[in-house]
Amino acid sequence: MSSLKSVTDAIVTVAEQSFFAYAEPVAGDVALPGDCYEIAVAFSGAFAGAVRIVMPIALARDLCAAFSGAPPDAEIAPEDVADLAGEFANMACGTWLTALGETECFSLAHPLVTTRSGDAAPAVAVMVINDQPISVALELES
Amino acid sequence: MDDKPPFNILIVDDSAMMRMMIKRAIGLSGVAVSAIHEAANGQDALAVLEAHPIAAVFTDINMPVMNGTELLRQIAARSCWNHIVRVIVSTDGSAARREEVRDLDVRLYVDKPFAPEVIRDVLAEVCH
Repeated sequence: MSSLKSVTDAIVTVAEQSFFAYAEPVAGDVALPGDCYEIAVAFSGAFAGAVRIVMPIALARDLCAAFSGAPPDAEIAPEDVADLAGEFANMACGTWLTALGETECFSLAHPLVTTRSGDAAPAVAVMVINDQPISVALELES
Repeated sequence: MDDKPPFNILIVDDSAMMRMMIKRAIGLSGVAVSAIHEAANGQDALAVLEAHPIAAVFTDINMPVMNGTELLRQIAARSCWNHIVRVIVSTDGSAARREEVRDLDVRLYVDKPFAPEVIRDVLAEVCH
């Protein structure tokens, strides 16, 4: 199984178990909307790199509502949405690394969350979560 | 007069939303908790432990400033904190990490992502 496939598998696990969301990889290019978060989680241990996820802010907000048990139309502070987006990526990265079964501990850096346009998102893999697209990239240091 | 000592919990995680989630799960558990304190890293957690009587610590592993493993080492080094129940809540469920914390008196290891009922069950166990 490729590393990126196992990362997307981890995203499915996290989406389903913690966010009650449906997630699946999709083939081909899918356009991401304009307002997105890019979340980078750097890791180190037996090997080092970063997982990068670009997700629509609207999806991050929906996931935040689901995670916190808030009504779908509840007002959620932007900083809470960004925090939750980071935690989503953190859980996905940690779930992936745990599943690898390495004999050396790994460390995750605090997620770095920035806003960006979805137009130029690096799409190494594309998934949909609750019918909204996200892009996933895995960078490994040589 | 209620002579029971206060059952205070400390939640340590660098994500405010995750701390909220754990706090909410504790509230839904039905377990009588006196107060819930929060900290965003191990160093802030130690300040809380110095200032308040804490019965149980729920801590993440990967955090800036001071990670959860170092926090647990610091707790284990102080005999006055021997009574504190230690629970890890982390995305890092690797065998290597579990081995690293094996001698730090961790009562339970909860893997993220977790369902809220898991926290309820953890509290039921640690309250026995």
